[in-house]
Amino acid sequence: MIRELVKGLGTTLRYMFKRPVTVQYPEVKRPVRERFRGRHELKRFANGQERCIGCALCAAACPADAILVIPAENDPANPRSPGERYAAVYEINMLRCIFCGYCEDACPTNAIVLEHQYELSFYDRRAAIYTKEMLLVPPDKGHGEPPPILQQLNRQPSPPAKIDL
Amino acid sequence: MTTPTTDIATDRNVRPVSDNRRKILEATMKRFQYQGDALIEVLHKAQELYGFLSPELLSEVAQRLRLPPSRVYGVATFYHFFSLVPQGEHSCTVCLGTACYVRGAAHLLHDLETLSGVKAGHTSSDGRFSLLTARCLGACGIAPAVVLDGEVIGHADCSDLTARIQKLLGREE
Amino acid sequence: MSDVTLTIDGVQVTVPAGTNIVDAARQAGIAIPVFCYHPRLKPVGMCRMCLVQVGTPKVDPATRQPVLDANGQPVIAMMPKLQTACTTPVSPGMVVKTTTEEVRFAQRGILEFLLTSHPLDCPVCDKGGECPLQNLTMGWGPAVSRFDYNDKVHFEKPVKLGDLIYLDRERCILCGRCVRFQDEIADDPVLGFDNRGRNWMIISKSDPPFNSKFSGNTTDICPVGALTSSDFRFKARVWELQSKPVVCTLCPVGCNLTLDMRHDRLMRVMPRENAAVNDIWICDKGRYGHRFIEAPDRLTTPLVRRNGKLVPVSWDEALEVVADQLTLIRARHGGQALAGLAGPQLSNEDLYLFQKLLRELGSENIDTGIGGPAALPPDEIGGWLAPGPNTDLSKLGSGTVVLVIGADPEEEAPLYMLRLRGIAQRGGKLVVAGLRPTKLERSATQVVRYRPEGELAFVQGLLKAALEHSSRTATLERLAGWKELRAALERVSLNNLATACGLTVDGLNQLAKDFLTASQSLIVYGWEARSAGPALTEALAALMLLSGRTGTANNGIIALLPGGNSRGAIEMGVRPDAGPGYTPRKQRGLDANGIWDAAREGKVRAIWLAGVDPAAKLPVARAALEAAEFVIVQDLFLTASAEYADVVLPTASVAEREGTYTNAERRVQRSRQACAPVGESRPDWQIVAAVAQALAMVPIGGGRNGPIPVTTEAWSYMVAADVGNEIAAQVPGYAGITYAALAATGTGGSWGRQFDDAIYYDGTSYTNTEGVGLVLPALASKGTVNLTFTGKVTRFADERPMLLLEQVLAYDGDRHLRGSKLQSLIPRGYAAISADDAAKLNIHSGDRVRLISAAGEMVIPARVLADVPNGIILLPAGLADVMAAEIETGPRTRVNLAKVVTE
Repeated sequence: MIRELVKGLGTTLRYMFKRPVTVQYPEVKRPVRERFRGRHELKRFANGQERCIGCALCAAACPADAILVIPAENDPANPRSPGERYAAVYEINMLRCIFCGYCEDACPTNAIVLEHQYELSFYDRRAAIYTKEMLLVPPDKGHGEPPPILQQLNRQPSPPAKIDL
Repeated sequence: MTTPTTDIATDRNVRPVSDNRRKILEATMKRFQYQGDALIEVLHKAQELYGFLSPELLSEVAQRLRLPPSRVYGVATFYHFFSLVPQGEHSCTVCLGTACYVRGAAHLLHDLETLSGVKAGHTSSDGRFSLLTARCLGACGIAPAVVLDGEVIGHADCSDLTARIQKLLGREE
Repeated sequence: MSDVTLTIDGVQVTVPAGTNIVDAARQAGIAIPVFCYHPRLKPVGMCRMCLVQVGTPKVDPATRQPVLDANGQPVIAMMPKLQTACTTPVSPGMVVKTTTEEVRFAQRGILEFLLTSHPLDCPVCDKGGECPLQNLTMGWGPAVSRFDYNDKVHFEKPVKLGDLIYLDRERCILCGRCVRFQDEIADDPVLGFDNRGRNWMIISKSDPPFNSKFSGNTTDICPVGALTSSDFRFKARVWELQSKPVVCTLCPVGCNLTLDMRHDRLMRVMPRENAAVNDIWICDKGRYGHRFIEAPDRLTTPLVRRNGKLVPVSWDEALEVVADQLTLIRARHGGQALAGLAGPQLSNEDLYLFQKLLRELGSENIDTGIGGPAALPPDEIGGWLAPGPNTDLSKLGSGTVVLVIGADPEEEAPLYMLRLRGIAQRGGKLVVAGLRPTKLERSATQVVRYRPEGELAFVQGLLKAALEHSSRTATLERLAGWKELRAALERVSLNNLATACGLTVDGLNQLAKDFLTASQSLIVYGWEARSAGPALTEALAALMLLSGRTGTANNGIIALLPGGNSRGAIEMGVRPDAGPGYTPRKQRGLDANGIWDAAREGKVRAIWLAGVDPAAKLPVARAALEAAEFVIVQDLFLTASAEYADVVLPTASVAEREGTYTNAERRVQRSRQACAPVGESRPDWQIVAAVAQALAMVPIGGGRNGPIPVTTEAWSYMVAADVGNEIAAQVPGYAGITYAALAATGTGGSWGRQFDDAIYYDGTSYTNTEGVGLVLPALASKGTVNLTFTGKVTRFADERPMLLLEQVLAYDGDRHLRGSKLQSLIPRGYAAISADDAAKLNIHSGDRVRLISAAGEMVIPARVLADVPNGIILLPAGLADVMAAEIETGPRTRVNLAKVVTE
């Protein structure tokens, strides 16, 4: 019995001098992989215009029916996005989302990108619905470069982000 | 179905009373028994009389021939011959067909644009001079060809042409 | 026509001669892609998408016999070049190949070419998802383009063709479907092609632009996203929509609609195919005029007046107030102190229960509409003599005579204009008679234009001439008043009648003979004919009876009444003189005008308004509602009448409930629920049933006027179908018209939507899955016509020089049009006068004129219109700012016209 005890404590002793495998979350955060699919962001163009044109292809592609897009017509004098159409309402229900990334694939303008933020917890169901204001990046940030996976593979996004707006 | 009446007598297109062009146009339409098929002939006559087809004139022709205005507009804009804006008193048409182009018609046109201050296809602001282009006048043998007020000038060169134009406009010094 | 057998891709198919190859291939289940071809339009072969290889049997010139090969098969001579399948009619023995490499090469080429100038903006395009160009590119197009993307031509967009339609020039492939639709089907040739080459574009040069009541249909048949509806602009993607079948209640045609909903919100209105009613088209009023469903000012809770203010209450409270007050008034003053008016847009179920409850309470004071000086008695002729079962105007052509008298179908029932025009186009005889020109006249085979004094003469002349050609007077002899009418006709000479209406005796004779000898004959009349007085429509009824075919399919009278279910209202017995199914009542109640008078005299104490707003139009009604002790208003909105209401009950709109509607041809159609009712609103029939239930619970009983005869058991309807079944059982003529029977009435055509048929019809309209409705068995077919010839004509209080006629407009002040894109097309109030009359008084359009009649006077802007006859003033009484009741003395009014001179 003593032998087993010593054996066990020996293991403990041995690991005390090794680098720990765990991290002190949330004080320390482990970096995620480049291809990690976390919370969505709606990107902008370099001129600050929204990339999202409200085409709702992401909603059509979504297997979990987590996305709601209600489009509207741009004010020609002060357009929010290039072209005639923009998303007046853009909502993702994070409880429904399965982070499959189909929306990213479907997006013709690379507007929606699954970024690396993974801390998604809510006190109620309503809070799980992320609105456009929460998803849209600030005007001076995140101009929607091709998704990391494509950068890694040095490939152009598919479908080609060549649309007439 | 009710449509507002147009009072022909108050039409803006009518010049003073002495103007009998409208009567001639009316007679032309009458000769064709106001048939819609005669639209092109009527427009030809109108263009000949007025020099261009104003929107008022087009709607009146449409009304008289009982054709939809959109069709009359369509025909008038389809044919290059019809003009919807007033033409200058004098016109100079530079041929830009292949033969003329090879013989320097483009340079000629450019020089004329610079000298006259009128862009190709436009009329000078005083309404005296129009600079036009054509695809091929069928006078390739005398390229570059220019038509100045109906007169075909072969082997046109810039200085000669400028002098003629100045003469026409009565500005020879 | 004989049939032709041909071979398409090895499949033998037999089609009628004259069919084109595209249609023939479709019958064989072979898809030939098309853009410009549309089965309802004449083929033009503009887009070249339908190119196929065509060959015909080789004929020996010497013997005129087909040349046979070694196997005894005819040798086929293929045409040297590809042919357009849409413009090539089939011929016997023809061989068509649609899948050879040559054809594929051409199809790929055409699509590659079309796409060179088409923008890649499918993600923002409203057509995306139901776009023939997308579908055909997927099915037949090349995978890649050799075109340099940077050379793509860009235009400014969108171009506003009108308030309702936007044009995107880049997307347009110039197939001309829209231009041809406007020319051929709508008869509004307001679109055209402008310019040439790369600058070729669609233009509209009418005033106002794209001036057509059918413009929305061009967006349906546009094979790309070039023409889009301003109403649906960037609202939703088409794959998100759920399609709900309803029936349009805005006019008596009863077009089949599809409400496209996303998450219970109305996105757009589309036609639902019904060959016998609206085919695949709808008018713009139906397409754009359904925004009232989601108007922000819809009533959401019952309101009860407390201390002079309407306050929201629960249904239970409101119903209790209604039941208490009705019981109290009935106990004190008897059932005849109650009165009810219902609107003609309510469903049969609503109307049936409405009159049933009032009659159970002992009141016969029931009417449709709001009354007023121009109100006419219920139109019975259009019911007794309506066309019989299996009526289908879309099939009529040669051998048909249609007499349109005093009607403006374009404004009164827009889709009927297309139907009647179609009859004339297919070789039928279309006689349009009236006081003034209408758009339908342009399609007529004969136009009869008479002065007001000649209008009765025309119909009587026809009748007199017809009497000489027909001896089928057996039914007529039984009818009251016929002898007097006949005697009156014998007193006048045909010559005099002919002179009075501006025709010759021969002309009248010929027309009467044509009418009687045609294989189908129809009479259509509208407001103008009805306003002349019953004598006119009665003579038309006699004429119809003389044909001897009354009540059979495609033979009868179609009366264009205002409102979507006005025929249903008459048949459900919402009228003072007869119960459901034209059954006369022992005791006649008060009509709307009688109710107003009686209310002011204190004889009528409680007024129930269901879907009508008399206070907006009638000063007399305002006084009556003020005087009434208790007023119930049951409506979608807080109307002007609601100001006088003690209780306001919110009703569900047509989209929020089920119901059946009877159209002008007496076709009963079923409408389904598309979304949940707004707030706490309820369908009208439920409200009536709930009031009945509440009445049964009132403890005090009925006092000296007997106990309330309403029982909870008798009024326990659970669903609309329960009421529908009771109507089928109780209303004469409605036997067998149950919900189940209506649902089993087929699909009404074979068009379908693009999901069903990707190539051919593309988004034009939806398959009708809910049944096409049933035309009621004609009442006249049993020989029990019960009409009375009164011979009455509209009389005038005095003789003034001008005749004032109400003009029915499709886009008027109807509160159902609120919030719609049509608002900009609704004119401000005006009185239309002829150019000659205007010149005499020096009046120009926009000048204010004073109209003075025996009843009063009004000042209104004048509009000088070319096609108003001299001596006639047209007053669009339906407009919100035209208070016609102020000057009207009857359906027609004699007035003085004067210019208002302002210093």
